Amino acid sequence: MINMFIDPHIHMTSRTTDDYQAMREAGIVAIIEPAFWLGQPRTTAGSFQDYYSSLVGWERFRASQFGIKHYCTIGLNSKEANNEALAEAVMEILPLFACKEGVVGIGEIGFDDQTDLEEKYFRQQLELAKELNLPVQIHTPHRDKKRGTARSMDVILEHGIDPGLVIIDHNNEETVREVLDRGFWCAFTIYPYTKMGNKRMVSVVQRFGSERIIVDSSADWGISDPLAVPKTAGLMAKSGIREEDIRLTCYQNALTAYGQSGQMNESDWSDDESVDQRQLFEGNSVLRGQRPGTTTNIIR
Amino acid sequence: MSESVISLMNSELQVNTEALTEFLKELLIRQIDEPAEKWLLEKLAGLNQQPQPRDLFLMFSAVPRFLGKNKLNLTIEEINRLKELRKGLSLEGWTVPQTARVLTLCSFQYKDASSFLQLLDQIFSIAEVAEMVALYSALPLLPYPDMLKTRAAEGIRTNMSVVFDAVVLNNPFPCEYLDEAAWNQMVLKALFMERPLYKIYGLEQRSNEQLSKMISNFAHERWVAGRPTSPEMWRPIGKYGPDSIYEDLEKLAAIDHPDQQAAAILAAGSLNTKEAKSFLKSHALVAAEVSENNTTWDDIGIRWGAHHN
Repeated sequence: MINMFIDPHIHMTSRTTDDYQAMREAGIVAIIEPAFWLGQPRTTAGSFQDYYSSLVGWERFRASQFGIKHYCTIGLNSKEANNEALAEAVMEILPLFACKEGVVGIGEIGFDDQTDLEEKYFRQQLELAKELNLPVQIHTPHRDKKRGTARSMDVILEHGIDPGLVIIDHNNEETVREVLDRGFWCAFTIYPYTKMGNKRMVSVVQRFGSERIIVDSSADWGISDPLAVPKTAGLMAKSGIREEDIRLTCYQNALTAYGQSGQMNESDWSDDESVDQRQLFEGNSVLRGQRPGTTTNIIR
Repeated sequence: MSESVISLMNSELQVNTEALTEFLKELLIRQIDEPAEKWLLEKLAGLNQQPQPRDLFLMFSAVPRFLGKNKLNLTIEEINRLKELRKGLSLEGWTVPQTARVLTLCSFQYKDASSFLQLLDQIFSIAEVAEMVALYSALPLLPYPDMLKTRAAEGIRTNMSVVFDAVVLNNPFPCEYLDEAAWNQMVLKALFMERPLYKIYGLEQRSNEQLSKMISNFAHERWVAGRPTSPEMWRPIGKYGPDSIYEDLEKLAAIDHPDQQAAAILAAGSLNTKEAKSFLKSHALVAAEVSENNTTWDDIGIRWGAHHN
């Protein structure tokens, strides 16, 4: 049974310590937190700066206390790209964060309403990714998804970016074929009501296999499930999907795709487990004197 | 300790920045490969050609991509040389990129105090965890130390233990520059976060009446909650004992743990009052054991850390 998972898209800033504990117990060893919007639009570049700082600072530390390696992608999301004055100011500070330790790509960027301003900053950020040779994480729109997804890929290829460096996220049965055919990584978000359910995910893997397919939760401040990846893996196993396919879609593909940044290696969590656990929990502040219950049963 | 005493102490501090910078550079070059050395020397040379702040920010961030993340190793000779160069500073637990970042900050040619402070504030405001550690561990080596007091106090407010350690442990800056209130907060927070006190430089030197009261109160809080206390916590009281201290020491001596008892003996020894002497007399057996074993506060701290962290 597969017992190590990566959730390559989850907004931990909105989640609690209970989630971190449950995730660790369920076998999640590493996560990627894409920079996104916080449910309410920001009005100053300083808010973005502090948000990015927390992604490479506090949140990374917080995750480490639960034995989870935290990585992130840095970008200006499409929704807030529609505030041009703000977007300009944010584009100024982005490069300062893009090369920080633990940053595995530019993201999540792409289209929301598919406006001209969204396209303008999408393109600028693709150029930044190209300059720094970083993977790109693409948010595809909820509305007019199929056309928005195709258009995102057109723009990316126009900039001469290798599709092998790009993860297209929030796919469904309607978009998967084209994304795979054009050579991109194809991620699916298991998110109740608005995105994929895990039964549908099982069918996708049965139909399309595991090559370049990635499962994530995108858990955030909405009704969502931080255990979506291990739960989907469990359902796949019950449905008779090969162990290797589960390993690829729920662990290895995310590592291979984002590992191209040079910032994410399996040894980050496999090598220094015993040492790290001691460091992490000693003098911890989030746990404030309590000792976590699951320091030894990390890999079960 | 009064402010005037601190500044008197500081005027005796002659930090030889040039020699230290050279020392760090040699230390690094000994343990990185040729391409990394080439990158580092080129970048350091570039710092003399009036770089833009942004160049400094990007270099600062890029260090581990070129130099890796190995731990720094020091030979016995190097450890001794460092002791001569900068009293109280230990590079224990430092990494190669951390050292290179500190070296970068020390090598930059700052126009004046205010531009130095502005630049440093900017680097701090976008720092990730490892960068924050490097920045705080650079405090005892940077120019204009008087202007960095509030920064050090800010570092102590962090909830990231690795960052806290960078300001507090093996670092002479707090002892040399923090005022009494900030120093006391630091020691209390170190206790609260279960950090090893023996790695704090200048504990005995900075003991004060206020801190002793705070420590005694903290012990009462812990005891009433039924939580264990570190025997190290009595070390910073020095010669300052509030009235409640003798009752505290009796309690300590009654704990069935050799290092708690040894702590009571050592604390009483440093108090050096009539009451303390009679305490030592009534616990002559333990006191004899402590002196026979040559038990020091460091021994107690190391043993406690090994069992509890």
